[in-house]
Amino acid sequence: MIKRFVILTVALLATALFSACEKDGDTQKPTINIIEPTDGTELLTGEEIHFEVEFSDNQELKSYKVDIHSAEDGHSHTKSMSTDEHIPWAMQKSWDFEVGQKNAHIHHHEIVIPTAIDGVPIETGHYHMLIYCTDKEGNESWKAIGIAIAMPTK
Amino acid sequence: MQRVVLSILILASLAISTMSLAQSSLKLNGLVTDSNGNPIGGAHIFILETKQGATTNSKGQFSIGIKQQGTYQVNISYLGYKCIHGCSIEIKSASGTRHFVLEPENIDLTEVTVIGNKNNGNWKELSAPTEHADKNLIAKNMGSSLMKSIESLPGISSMEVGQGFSKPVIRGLGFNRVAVSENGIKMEGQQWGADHGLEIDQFGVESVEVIKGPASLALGSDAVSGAIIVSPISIPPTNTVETSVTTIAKSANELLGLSAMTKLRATSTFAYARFTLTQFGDYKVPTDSFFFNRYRLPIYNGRLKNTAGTENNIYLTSGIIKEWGKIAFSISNVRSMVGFFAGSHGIPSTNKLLPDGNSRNIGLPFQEVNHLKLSINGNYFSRIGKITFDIGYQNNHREEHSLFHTHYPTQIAPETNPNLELLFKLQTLSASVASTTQIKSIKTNYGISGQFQNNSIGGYTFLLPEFTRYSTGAFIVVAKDLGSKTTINAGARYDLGSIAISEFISPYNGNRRAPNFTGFYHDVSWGAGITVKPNHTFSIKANLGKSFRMPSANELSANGIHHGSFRYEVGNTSITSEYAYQADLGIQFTSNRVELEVSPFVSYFPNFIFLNPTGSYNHPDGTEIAEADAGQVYQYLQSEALRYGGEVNVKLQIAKSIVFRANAEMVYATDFTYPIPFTPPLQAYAEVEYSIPYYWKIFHRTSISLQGNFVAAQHRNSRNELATPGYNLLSLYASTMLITKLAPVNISLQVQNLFNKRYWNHMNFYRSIEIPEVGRNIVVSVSIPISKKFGNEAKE
Repeated sequence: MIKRFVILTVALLATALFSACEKDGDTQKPTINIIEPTDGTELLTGEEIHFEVEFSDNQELKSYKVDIHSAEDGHSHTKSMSTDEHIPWAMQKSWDFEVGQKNAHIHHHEIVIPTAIDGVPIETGHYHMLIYCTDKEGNESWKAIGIAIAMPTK
Repeated sequence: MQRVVLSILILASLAISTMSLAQSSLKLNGLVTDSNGNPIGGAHIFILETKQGATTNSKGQFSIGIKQQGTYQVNISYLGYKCIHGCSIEIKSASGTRHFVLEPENIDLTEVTVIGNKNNGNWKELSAPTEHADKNLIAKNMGSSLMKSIESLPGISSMEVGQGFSKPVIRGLGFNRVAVSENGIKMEGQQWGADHGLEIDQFGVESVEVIKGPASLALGSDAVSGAIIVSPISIPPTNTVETSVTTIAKSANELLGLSAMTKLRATSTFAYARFTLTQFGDYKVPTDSFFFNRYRLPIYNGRLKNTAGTENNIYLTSGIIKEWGKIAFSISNVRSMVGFFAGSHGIPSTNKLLPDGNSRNIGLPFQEVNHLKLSINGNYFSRIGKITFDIGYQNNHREEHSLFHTHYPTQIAPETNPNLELLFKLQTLSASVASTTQIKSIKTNYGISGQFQNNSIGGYTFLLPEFTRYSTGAFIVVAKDLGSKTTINAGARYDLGSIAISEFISPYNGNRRAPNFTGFYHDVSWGAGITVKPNHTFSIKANLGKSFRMPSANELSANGIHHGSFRYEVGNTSITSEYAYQADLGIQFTSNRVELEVSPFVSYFPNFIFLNPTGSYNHPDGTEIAEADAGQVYQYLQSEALRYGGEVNVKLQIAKSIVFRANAEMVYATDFTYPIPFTPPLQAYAEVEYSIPYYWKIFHRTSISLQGNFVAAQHRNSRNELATPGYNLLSLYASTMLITKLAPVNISLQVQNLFNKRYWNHMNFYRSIEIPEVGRNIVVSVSIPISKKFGNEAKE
């Protein structure tokens, strides 16, 4: 019985060594190529963002996300959001790619920079724009650019 | 004639006396001390071959006359200390003083581990693979926390967030898969959290036992991959007061630490107190910049901004010890406040990294943890065994502070504590009773335990809901000697538990972040093992077992950014208990000069719980996630997993004073599609130590060692996990004890990462933001132990 026990344990160890076959998992990240807006572009409040980005993946794209937030105050986000006469603007939105898509050229004007939020004009200045992208397996890449938001001169 | 007779008599007596002189000139002179160098008076020495005995005097010295040269087996024993059994001593002509060090016996330890303590002299080694660390090993490898200090043990590693926190990892698994118990109570903090370290004062640790492999039978849920058992403090001999003051300084983070303790025992009452205070500045890293997503960001002055911290701990125990057993009451409070690297919360930017002119301040973001623990521990000896009970209350209070920020336009900073981002207050009440009996060759250990937990939350963001959790279990383990060479053991455990999670509605946008949920879990776990020792030099162990783990609250219902791991994590209420089947072997060869141990293992999880990247930016229920810096959503799922690997451990006595130690460890882990993330790479550790165990002038127990860590690259990576290059590190260690008139002074010097090498640790969460590990670190420690007898015995 003792022999059997030891043999069983050895057999289990040996089986593990030979049976550990791993399917080819995909760990390759999708790529992001930002055409518009470019780093440092000045954009005006009340206007649409001309958004033009190429995404591609070795297998299948899943989603992308755009995150814009104020980079004033050293990116630490302001303490209180609605005290003074200006309010920092922030937006987050994600979109899904069509099923089976490996390459996508996205071009839209869906993101609109507001002039004011609840009647309070938005803070102008330096903003960060982050673009995230995932593939079907959850591999993720992202890119960040800086944009400047200004009031249109009247 | 009379003259002749007289001269014969004289000659004979001369001959006899010279003979006896010659005999008595061969002596075994010895000194018996504890590991602090304090002499132990009244210890018994027994030479097996000659059946001669002796008792040490108050200075711990003894002397036994020996008739013949040769090698003798010596036993040394003293109440409260582990016996030295069959220590081989070679006695030639003029022998110097031999020094014997008795290690304190951890009376409670065997009852907690159940599976077996290999240092327990009464019991033949049981079959579970274990590692042992005492305070010398901890002192020799003194890292930023207990886990860093013991990670050189084969199969043990630590998972880190920067330098501030390190989590225990056994054979590649950590978090809720490793149970940690201290003083008989299972530690309950925020084990699920990446930035949760052990709330244990490493200066107060005398001895640690690590069980590799499923230890669920003794400790219940959570010990799927193993357990770390910190022994209760040893109790000094009667009428003794022991005090010890330790100071430590480290160069890498300009740490200064002080720990003072005193232990007191009259005849049957004892008390213990320890206070520890450490303060450290920002960590130094051998780089002036780091890469983050194609951007090179600066590290000013070679220091990681805002990684400073403080730790202050109090530990008090008092109790009575009698022939019938022991009862002790303990209270401890471990408090730490550690900054998070300024670039680690949110996306790093240059502005955040500018130095603030002070490398010792703790700015935002930081975390503050306070762990309060009360316990009553007791044991009672009967004719056939022992009954042990442990009752504990723990309050783990963890706060994460970060400058108030939000992306909900309507959210306004709270008036009090505006920067309190997350608060977790976990209260745990636990109780267990266990009994050990020995009838002939059968040892039985059985017991019941129960635990109640309540978690409350606070802060302006949300990650984990409030919950209450009950669990109870009963176990039995039977060990039997089959003849003198074989021991078998088998056991089973049944557990029953429930968790009730409370709904959480975001006050800012009305989103339901966590639903009401109640889950019931019950499981049977079992194990069987065998130890065969055909002779003194060889032994083989084999184990088979099934262990389980109840899903934890975060796996069921997390919903938020986990800053420690840089991920948005979402729980899954359909998760069931996790099982693991494990088989392991231990093959050991021991001779006078060589010790070799090979311990392979394999474990199979039919439903391993892991965080799966969903590829989506919305919650799986379709809700949009509106938090800053949130990447894709990771959700807890279950899948098959296989893990195997093992350790090789070698000790060679090259010469009388030179020892070579080495170990190597590897883990292969897969879910059959991807490697399992945070798997430690293949690595080896080697050490050459030269030591003079006896007196040399005023120096005592001097040793110098050179240590090398050889770590291979880890290219088996999961999704979104970076490959980590390999590295080699060298470290130096020297220690001695200065004998002064007042007290002995232990001095040690370490130089870690001698060549100031820049490297990355695959097991560090900061690896993903490309922050290298600490550079050269010089650690100096001075400790003064004083032991005094008082009362009647002192007059002897």
